[in-house]
Amino acid sequence: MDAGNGCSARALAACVVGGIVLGASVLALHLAGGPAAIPPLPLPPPIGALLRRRRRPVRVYMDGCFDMMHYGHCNALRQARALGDELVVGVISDDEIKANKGPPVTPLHERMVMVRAVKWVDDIIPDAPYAITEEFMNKLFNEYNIDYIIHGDDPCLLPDGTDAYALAKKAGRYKQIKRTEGVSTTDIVGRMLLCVRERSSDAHNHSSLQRQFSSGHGQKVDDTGSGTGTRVSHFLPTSRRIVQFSNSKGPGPDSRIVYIDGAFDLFHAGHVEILRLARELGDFLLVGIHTDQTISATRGRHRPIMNLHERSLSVLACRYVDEVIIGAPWDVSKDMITTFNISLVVHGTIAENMDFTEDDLHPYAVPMAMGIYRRLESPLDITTSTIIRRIVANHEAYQKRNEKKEASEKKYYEGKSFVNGE
Amino acid sequence: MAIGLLAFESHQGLWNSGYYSQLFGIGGVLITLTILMLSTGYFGGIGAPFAPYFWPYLGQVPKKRERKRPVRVYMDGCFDLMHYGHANALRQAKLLGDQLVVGVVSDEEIVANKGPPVLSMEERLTLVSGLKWVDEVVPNAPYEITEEFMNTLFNKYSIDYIIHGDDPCLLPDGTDAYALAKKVGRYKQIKRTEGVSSTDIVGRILLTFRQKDADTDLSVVVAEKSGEKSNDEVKSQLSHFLPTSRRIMQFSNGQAPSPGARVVYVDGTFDLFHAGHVEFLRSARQLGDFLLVGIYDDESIRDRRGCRPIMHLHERTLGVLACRYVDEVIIGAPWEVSKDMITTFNISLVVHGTVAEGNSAGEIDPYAVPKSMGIFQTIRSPKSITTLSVATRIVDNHEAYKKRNLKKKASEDRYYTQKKFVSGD
Repeated sequence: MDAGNGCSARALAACVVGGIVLGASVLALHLAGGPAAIPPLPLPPPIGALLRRRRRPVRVYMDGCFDMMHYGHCNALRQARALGDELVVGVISDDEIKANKGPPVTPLHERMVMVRAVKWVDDIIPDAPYAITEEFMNKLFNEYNIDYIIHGDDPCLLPDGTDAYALAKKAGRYKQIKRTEGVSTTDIVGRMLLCVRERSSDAHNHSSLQRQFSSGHGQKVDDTGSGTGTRVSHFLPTSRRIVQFSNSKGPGPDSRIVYIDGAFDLFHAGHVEILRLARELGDFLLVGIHTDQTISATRGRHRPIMNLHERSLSVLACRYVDEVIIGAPWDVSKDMITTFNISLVVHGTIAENMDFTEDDLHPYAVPMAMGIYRRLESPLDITTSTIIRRIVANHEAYQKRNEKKEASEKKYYEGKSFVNGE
Repeated sequence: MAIGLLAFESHQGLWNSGYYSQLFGIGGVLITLTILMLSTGYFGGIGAPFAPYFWPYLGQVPKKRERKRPVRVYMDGCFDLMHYGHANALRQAKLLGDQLVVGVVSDEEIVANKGPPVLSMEERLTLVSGLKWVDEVVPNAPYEITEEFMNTLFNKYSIDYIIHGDDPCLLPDGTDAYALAKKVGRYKQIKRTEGVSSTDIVGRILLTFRQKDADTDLSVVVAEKSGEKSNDEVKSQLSHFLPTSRRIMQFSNGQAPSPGARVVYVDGTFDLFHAGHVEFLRSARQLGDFLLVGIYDDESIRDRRGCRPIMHLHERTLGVLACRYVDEVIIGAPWEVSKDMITTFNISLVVHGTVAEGNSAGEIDPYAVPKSMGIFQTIRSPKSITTLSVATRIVDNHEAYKKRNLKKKASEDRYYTQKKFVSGD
């Protein structure tokens, strides 16, 4: 019995020790293999949640009238986009603009075309309200998944004097960008209103409207209180701005390069559509923008309304444009075609000054002779003159609006300090 | 229990060896299986993360060894009247390697091969050294790359490739100046920059000379550049400079001033970008962290000075942008420095040089605002070169330049007649 018990005890002890050793070995091996085993395993919930959270893009919202889309609008949208991953743009309706600012120059559908064509725009909300009501703000946050509402550093006041973005600021869902200096719809409209006054009185003799307004040179406007322009700030194009607006890559080795040229003054929906069609004919769209002198010589001394750089940046902001020649020559020469490896030269059927057809100095004589010239049917029959005529037709209303705007601009610039941003 | 005891006593030998052996055997098998499974998983687990790193790791070794020695490229030129085309050529050359060594041809060699240079060797060295893409400069480079000099480049300067544009460079005897380098396979080509050349710039200045009256002073001579087309024989006007958005992008560093940066602003015409400009910009840059340069537009200059600049706005812009001391440029800056402009660009200091083209006496002071704000400073211009002094040198030697231009025009005509598209930037 004793011997039996002793044997059993020894056996048990051996089993227990063996089990412990075995267990230790298994545990050790498991731990050793642990790190290696993690990758093939499905992600633990915390990491998955983190990834899931990161996968959701930050969506920002910016609204505006975007009447007579210009470089400043584009730069604002570019900055807004830089604050998030996706940019949703609210385009205010015609009725709201009329109620708050005066009649719009371009109707909603044209403004929609313009905004959608900007490189940095992901989504559009038509008929956005001028004031962001609580109801609309909640709609932005819940239905459109907006994280932040964006606006420039200049105040946006409602007719009753209150801040249009007070609600968003209170909710902590507001972010500010730097206002783009020297360009505004009011300023551009002011140049054209001056044009009207010049035509009515021959006393004035300005060689170029844009020289006065955009570059700040030449004669000062005699009647500063005329309300035809907001003269406080001027557009100053920098090399860096051009970098920001440009695409980073050039044409590929076998790219089919399409060339289209023009003034592209008061960049409008007709320009967008013709550029879109031109882009579809090739892989790379090169746009030639004529100099101020060329346009004045061919279209009269009151053109262009915008200077070369304003026009260049407006065209560069268009998503269909790959590269721009700043100050392209009137004639399309063989050398130019060779230098840029142009495969096709196109021109729209709706364009200003089609008189060159009868001239000996046809600007497209060379591409025609080379068999690479093509006429495009312009989708929209808008021209720069169309835009100007709309303003002239309502010049009384615009003049009144400009006077009101000028007052608030003056107040803003007097209190202005440096704002960090691009 | 009894059965157990009986079995135990009866088969003690069997129990001692057989039973324990079986137990150990089973345990061993189990342990082995477990270890095998875990080991399999272990290796599998290790293999997964290990495999992706294996090839890159091997690839790193030769790459690292190779990467230690930078590829050095060499490009030479006269670089007389430095312009955008020179800068763009050097930018392309730099893209073909890691370090760019630039040979500046000596005054004597230029006289022997092309005619008198406008700028001195010292001035040309300053201009070339001031470019963003230049790492090293070899002064007194020969016009023709002899076998002896080529070996010096390969051995002493550790040059890998000699670079030149796609236009032919012929010696006075008509042979290719780069034949040797091509033969040994150490030559690479870049695309010639269209529409700009020293010959063209000299031609514009000479054009004004032809219209000169006996009584006219030199500033007006420079002014009447835009003459009749009947004077084409002094200009090689076959191609025109066409500035693109992408070119400006390539020349810019694209950086913004950091939050606390001290922004220094200088403005001017910067026509016929010369060594005086370079030294002035270098001095201005040392006064702050970010140098913003305002370049006047053509109309503004004509209004103020009564004459147009020799180079137009974009040619001047790219010339300034190519300078390594320049961070950003305002294309078409206003004459007057306004408070709004100072606020917008957060300018800390406005700088002006002591040697500059004069204004009209009765003009408004363009620096009135920065002066009243206490942020205006005048710095002594390191060199007394002005655009006018450079133009004067050309007019003084107009006969030699005219002859040279005619000769150059002939070869230019030949080149453009046969020109084909060359890919490259």
